Amino acid sequence: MTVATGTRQAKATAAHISKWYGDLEVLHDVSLEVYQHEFLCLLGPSGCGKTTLLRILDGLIRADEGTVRLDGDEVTQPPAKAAMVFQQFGLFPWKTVGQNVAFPMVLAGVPGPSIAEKVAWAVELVGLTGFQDAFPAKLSGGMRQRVGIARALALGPDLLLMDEPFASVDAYTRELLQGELLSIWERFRQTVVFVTHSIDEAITLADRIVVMKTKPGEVYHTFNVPIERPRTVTTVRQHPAYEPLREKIWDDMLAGSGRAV
Amino acid sequence: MDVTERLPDARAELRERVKQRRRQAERRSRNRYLLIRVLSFVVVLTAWQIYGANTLDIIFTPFTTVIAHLFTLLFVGKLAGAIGYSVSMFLGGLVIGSIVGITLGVAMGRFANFEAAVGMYIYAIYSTPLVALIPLISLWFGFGITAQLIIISMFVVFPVTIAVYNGVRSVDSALVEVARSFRAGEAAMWRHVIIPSVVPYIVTGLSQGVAMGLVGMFISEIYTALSGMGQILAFSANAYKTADMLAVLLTVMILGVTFRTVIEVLRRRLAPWFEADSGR
Repeated sequence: MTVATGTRQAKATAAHISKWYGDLEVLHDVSLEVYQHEFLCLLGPSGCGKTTLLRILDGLIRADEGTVRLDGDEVTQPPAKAAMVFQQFGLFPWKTVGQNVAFPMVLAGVPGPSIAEKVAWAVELVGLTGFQDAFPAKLSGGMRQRVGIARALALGPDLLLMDEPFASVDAYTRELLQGELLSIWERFRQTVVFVTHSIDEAITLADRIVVMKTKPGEVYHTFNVPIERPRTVTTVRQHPAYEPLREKIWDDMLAGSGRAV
Repeated sequence: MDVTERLPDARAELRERVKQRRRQAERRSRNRYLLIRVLSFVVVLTAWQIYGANTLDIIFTPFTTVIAHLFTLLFVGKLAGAIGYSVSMFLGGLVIGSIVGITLGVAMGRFANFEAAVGMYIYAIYSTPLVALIPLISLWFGFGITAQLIIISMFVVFPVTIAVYNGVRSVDSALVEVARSFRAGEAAMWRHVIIPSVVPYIVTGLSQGVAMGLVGMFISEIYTALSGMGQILAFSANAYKTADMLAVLLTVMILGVTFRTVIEVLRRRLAPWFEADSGR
């Protein structure tokens, strides 16, 4: 069952989510709808609970209050339709690139030949052909995250959850990967929830940006990004809507962080 | 002639030259390393030879005499049989100690309640000089093969247990979460995450177990029924046959180095990603 909201269908919904870590309330009454085929960025300063919210969406941790639904079904454990890309890459050092990409499919019981085919496809998609038998230790940070992305995409997920995936690579690689993600996503248009603390990254990638405020983490305001696709990192920066939107979001984050910067 | 046409050729040539130069530098440094080793070996053996020839036979004997005695002991004396006996006892103790140690370490690492119940005794016994327990073991199990095996495995079990316990404890929780996110059950978690991350710790534990096991082997052979290489060592010492003693020590040294090499090869086979790690 899917919930229709106006003309747009909700893929995933979080309703009245609260989460405490001990006495600290990290999320307070967060409600969020992620629409089918949209690229949504959760944007906020460190400590606003955006990563916690993402893990709750993936069913990795349970909210203390509220429910998460994916296609109308309540999420109580990691759903098969969702795949996560992790900030620290989350690659298994004892598995080669190919084995890392294959891992979720092996767990899902996908037959061997089909796995090999999908691994080759995903590895090529992220530009790592020829590195299938390399161990992660031999790869640069950018290449490692390409493996992380290939691993998630190979599953063919409906919902892609990305937890600051480019926060651990250098600025140059970061822009490069943003550009690659743009062109990959514009081909497949899975529903994406992308966590970041970078306004530029959010505007570059997202259809819609949800700004979160801190202490406790709450949804603050939502911004639509009126920049048409296909995009590249450069066309976004040069777009007339870019600077005004960046300023608006910056002021909003400043107000939401509740402190003098 | 057009410069752009020659450019790829020139670059390939340059790359080849750079590669060759690096290979040469690597070879040179490898050769120097080898040379120093050989020189050092020659110097030490010469010093041994000269000192041995110019002192009392009871104190020290020349290297050549030690080698001669080694061959006599091997082919005329009882050393060959003693090595067989000692090594089988050692391997037996190593296997028992490793199995018990890995089981204990995994159980302690994975089940907090078990660790709470048992951990303190493990640490307490590990902190006790094991030699002090030998009279008690002799009292309970006598002086035969059983007692010797128990002593050797006792020396092996603690380093293995502690290493494996640390390994299970230090499984990266981020990777556990990754596996959970991709819907791994308990069995898959063991197979794909826990066991692979513990393997290097097991090998480290085994490596320490080998070192300790050799200590246990000698101690068991000297402190229970005199037997194996320990017996030859003790008899030679009592008879002031220094050359024989040195021959036995040389044998043990070779055995120790061999076992450690085997473990190192095992590590490379079982955990190739470790090599990949240091390969950069």
